Amino acid sequence: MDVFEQALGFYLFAAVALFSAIGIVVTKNIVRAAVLLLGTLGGVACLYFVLSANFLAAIQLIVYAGGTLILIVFGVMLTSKSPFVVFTPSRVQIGIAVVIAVVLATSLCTLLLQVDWSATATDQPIVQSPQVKVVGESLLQQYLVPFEVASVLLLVVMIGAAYLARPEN
Amino acid sequence: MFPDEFYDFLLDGVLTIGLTHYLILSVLLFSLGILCMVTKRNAIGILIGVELVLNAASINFVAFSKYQTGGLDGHIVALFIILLAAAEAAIAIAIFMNFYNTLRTIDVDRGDELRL
Amino acid sequence: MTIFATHPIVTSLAPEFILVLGGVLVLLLGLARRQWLSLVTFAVIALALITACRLRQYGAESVPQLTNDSLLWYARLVGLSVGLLILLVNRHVPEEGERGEFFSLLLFSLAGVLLVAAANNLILLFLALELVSVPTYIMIGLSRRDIRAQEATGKYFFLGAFAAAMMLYGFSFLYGAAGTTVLFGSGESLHTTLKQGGALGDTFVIIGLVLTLGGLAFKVAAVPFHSYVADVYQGAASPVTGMLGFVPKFAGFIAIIRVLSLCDWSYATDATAHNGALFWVLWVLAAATMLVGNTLALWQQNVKRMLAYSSIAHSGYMLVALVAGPGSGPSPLRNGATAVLFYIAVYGVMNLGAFASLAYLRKTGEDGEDSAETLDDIAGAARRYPWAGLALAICVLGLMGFPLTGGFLGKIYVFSAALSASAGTAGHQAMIILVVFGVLNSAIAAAYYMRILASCYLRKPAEGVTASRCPALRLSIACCAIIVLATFFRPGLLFDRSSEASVDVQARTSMQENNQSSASTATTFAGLPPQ
Repeated sequence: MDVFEQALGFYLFAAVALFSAIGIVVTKNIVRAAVLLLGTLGGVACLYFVLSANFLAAIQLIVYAGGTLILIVFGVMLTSKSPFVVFTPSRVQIGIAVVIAVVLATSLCTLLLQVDWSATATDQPIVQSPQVKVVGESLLQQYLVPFEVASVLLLVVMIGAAYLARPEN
Repeated sequence: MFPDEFYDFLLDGVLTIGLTHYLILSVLLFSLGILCMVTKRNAIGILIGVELVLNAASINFVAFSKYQTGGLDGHIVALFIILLAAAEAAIAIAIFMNFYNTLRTIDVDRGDELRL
Repeated sequence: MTIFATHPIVTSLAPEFILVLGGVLVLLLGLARRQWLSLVTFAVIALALITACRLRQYGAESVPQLTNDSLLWYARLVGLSVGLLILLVNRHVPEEGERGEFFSLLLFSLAGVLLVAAANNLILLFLALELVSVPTYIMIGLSRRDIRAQEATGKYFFLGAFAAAMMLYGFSFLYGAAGTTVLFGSGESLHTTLKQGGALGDTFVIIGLVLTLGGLAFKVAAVPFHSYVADVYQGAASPVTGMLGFVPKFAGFIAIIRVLSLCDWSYATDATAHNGALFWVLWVLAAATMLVGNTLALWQQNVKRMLAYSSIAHSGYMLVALVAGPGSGPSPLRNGATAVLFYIAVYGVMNLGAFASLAYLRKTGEDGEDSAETLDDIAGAARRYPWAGLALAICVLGLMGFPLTGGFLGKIYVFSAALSASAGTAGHQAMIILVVFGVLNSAIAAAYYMRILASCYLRKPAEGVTASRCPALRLSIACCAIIVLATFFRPGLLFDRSSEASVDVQARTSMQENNQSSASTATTFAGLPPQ
């Protein structure tokens, strides 16, 4: 991709992701927030395409936007009119949170702008054609143990979810 | 019309997309995630905030992977992050379900416990 | 061992494999024979412990994906031994309808703790930490059919998910600074890159480390993420709470030690910029954690809440030793990492013993039988049940740091290591202030521990309180009390193991030429236990 395509892609999809995220924070309606999350997830998936992470982009769309989001929407259905309230932030706390978030964002941004990237930047292009093959091979070689632990983690989640959600005796 | 530096800035800083652009996007998503987590009363709102932060982390990993190392390590971490997000959403739903199961077995006159 | 002539990964992770396979086995057995489940679980943990000992004896081929050092051995030894005690305490928790899920989750969580110590990769470290936490979320929710327990689970889960996401965000910067996810190793690794100040300078290392430590603060119940502790400890059943005081904390402190040994963590005068920032972040965290824990504990009437806040305060004491860094020599009197490793083991047992004693005293309330919770419930318990009262007193005195208990030695080690390891560094003045603050805090803490003892010994016995009939629970309470005393009178065993564990930590942190992880030279130190 040439420079202009990259710039166009980045600004378009970053804007989608960012404005959806702002919408999530601003809206009071939890259903709307869940729908807007689709915008963020989709925008980020498209950014992965721009970053030439094609396989990852596909997975993000299929698993994240397709699967996880459905679970979250189910959660919205379960909790929208319920007494399940975990935290009850006061107005003062929200104010403090806004201040902290703004300070954090600005200070991190200024720190990042000062870093000189060229020193360690790489010209090495990301593996283009058989990306799936490389990912698959390293999952079974270099990342074998994390891969197995991930499967144990999913097993635990499965046991836990089935057990917690079982009907009352 | 504008000084030359402005055009240089436009070409280098705005039009040529580099690592910094992605990192700033991820910082913004991270801050929005924190805001969402803190301001939402609904438990799902908090989960959505967590998803935003996780996405910010993935963007960082993939961008570093492209601009700094050229390897696929960052992509693999991002895969694991997607897995984790799915796992967490499943647990969250199970916790809600358990909450309702418990709620149904409790007498109405003891409902004051709910207003914690 | 020779029967399974397998891949080196399987050999070097044998105890973890046994735990995971055992967890699956318990699930399968749970479909048929429910009464043997706790016995099978016990056997699985014991087998893993024996395997770990054999592995230590004969050594395992080193695998680049895993660390194979003495800290891993310490984590296995202490994690599995306390795991056995935790199992005894929790034996009666699962309800009628359950089919082995509870015990298998306990096994998976323990496997997570060992994997945290074994991880030599950011991804594995992260997944292992999640493997520790996720089973605990579920176990809390299962332990009590009570709306409070469910809300506590929700709080714990959402805060935990958030802390994990934040830690991951920190990891992404560490990855950016080093360009690799490998933690240690002679080749390209985070350790070698960060030692040279990080490829991208200090900015990234500081952001990454601070966010990572913030996320890990949740696991150890330290200040930015401490707000869940009281509700969760009160909401969960007492035996599960006893587990919560050890398993996530132990994993969290091991992870903190691992992350901090990536960089040069003591605040030396000729230091690069990032450990100055790191020093102050940890300093503030430690001071705030001690203060918050102890002041809030003072006002509680509920013993479980009180112990919850005291658990925050204990994390603060351990952070004090971590601020100072490994220092010189492996002895816990001089080395912050050793002191923390010693303290967390003793604390885990004391805390478990205290909660087990609470679980032993049953009160019959409006929603059935439950363990004692408030100061009124345990009033006069020592008169009616002298042995349980004595065990509770020993554990509480240990938490207080009273002489003749292991808790006393733990506190001595933590504070002396903090002073000794920081000597001659730029942070020595600040460390002295922190230690004085810590000692003052332990004095304040004595006040609320005394309230527990006074209620237990001086007041009239409370009505409607009975004792549990579970033999495993009695056995575990006795074991905890004996261990708390034994760590004072015979500290040598734990002292040696924890000193041994930090030899490798120190070899990595000190700026020596050989970057190779020293193959655990356990016999090189000449430190002898006191007395």
